[in-house]
Amino acid sequence: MRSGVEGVLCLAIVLATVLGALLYGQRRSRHRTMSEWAIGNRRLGTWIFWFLNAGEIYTTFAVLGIAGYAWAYGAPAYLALTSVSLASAVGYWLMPRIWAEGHRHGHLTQADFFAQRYGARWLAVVVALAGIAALVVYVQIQITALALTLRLTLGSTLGPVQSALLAAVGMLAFVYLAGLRSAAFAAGVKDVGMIVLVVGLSVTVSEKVGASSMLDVYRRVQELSPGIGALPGLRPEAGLTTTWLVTSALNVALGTWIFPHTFQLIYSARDESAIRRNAVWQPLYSLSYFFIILLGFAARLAGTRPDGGNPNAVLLQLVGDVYPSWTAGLLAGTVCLLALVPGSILLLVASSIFGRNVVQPLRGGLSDRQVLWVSRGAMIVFAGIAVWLSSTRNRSLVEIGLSAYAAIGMLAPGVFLGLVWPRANAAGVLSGIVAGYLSLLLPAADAWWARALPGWDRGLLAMAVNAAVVVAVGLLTPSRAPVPAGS
Amino acid sequence: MPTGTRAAPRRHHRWLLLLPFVWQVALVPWANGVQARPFGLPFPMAWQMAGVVLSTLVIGVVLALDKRADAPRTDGA
Repeated sequence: MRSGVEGVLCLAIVLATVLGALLYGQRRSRHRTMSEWAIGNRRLGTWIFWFLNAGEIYTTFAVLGIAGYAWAYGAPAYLALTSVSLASAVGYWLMPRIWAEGHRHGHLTQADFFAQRYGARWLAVVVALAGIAALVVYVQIQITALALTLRLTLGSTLGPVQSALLAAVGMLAFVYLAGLRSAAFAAGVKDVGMIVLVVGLSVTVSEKVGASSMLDVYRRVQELSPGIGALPGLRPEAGLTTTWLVTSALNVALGTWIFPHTFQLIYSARDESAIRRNAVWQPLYSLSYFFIILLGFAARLAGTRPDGGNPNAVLLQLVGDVYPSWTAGLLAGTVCLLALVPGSILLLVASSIFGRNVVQPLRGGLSDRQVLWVSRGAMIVFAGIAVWLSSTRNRSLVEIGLSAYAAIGMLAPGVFLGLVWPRANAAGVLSGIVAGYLSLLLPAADAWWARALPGWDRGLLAMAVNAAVVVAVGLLTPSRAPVPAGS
Repeated sequence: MPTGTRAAPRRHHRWLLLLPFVWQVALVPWANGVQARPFGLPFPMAWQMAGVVLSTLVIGVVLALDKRADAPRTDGA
């Protein structure tokens, strides 16, 4: 089944795009400063901004993850349709505020925002490390997906750990050779490629699985698997109830803009109106999940059996089973880009935060160049941790994604309250983060939540605990101390 | 929500941004129980897709109202 055509096409797509991206990046910029490398010197126009931002949505999480979730559980995959528009509504309100603060005070990273707003350099170090932790979990998604694709395409002579290592090396190589501008080019290529492929597959898949139209696939799958269309879906024991959907979607919506890379993306926009306009169109992107869920359901009709029942592999398996090998090769190549590009951007962001907000404050006196080199070294460590995480547990991409949102949610109260409530202060934010992590990670807390609020997203609960602590400390602190950032 | 002393244009229309939350979150428990199948789709899924369209419209309307509120006072910062 796995022919050479598939592997060759896959490699050709990846190499051609990377080469194009490098040429594009080279032509656009000769400057190798921290600010160019990390935020494109705050000069990215609407289009590049839109592409990078959309690229955040079109990741392997969206394509492999949601298709797999639809196949394995059914209705819980609607989470993808719910969370994007909620995130856009939040973003319309939040992003211009973050942009304006960053523009006014010259922030390069999210930790800069915390340092300036709360007047505490030490808080910036804590925030930087918490942000990096969430990013590493997010990189784990991309490594898991890229490793899987490599294994399925290039043959199973590669072990899981080897393919994960190979994936990480690929990402690192891309970042070392390129920067944000090159990534924008590659993001454009992968988005166009993915849209063409998803539409192409959706139009043809019904015939391949014995249905008469796309809607017929939906009709048939509901007859074949009763209960697939409504929550809690095909496996009620998994606890993916309406409560789960509601709380998870809220947590994703509140956390989306809190990721450090989203902050830097917002800073890289030219003006506020580019950001606002982007928020209007963003929800429409998520309508394409109609096609992704369709492909997951089609795999049920086709009786697709991915290796080890791994939901992440369903889409690749389906296409490998019922399509010619060139289609499978195109898909594999595009999926590689889909993992490679966001994965590299995330590693880039994690390392630039590490250099600027951890190394520089703790070891002053290093030159800009030295910091750049230390950050690049740290990137290898972060990629290594992501490889290790992806090899410890075999989880669905959606589950890993929700863990990443839970992790980044720890910084959300500090951002939201920092913008609207002058009394929020550094001590409160730190106590909130500690309390949030405890309620997220302590086994005792986990058991307690399971009894008290079954089905609730743990990330949202931890965020609520965190926010309550920030507010409590703010109220208990004499009000003369903090200086509001905005006015 | 007044957050500062700056005289900002009126932004009450920003509350419209809560509509997507009502549609796509608050009404989920109800939508999940509806048996109808518009176009053959499971109702909860069609409901979320309609919510996506609604969200784009709502954010678009808020953007238009924001522009109108900003227009007369471009004296700025």
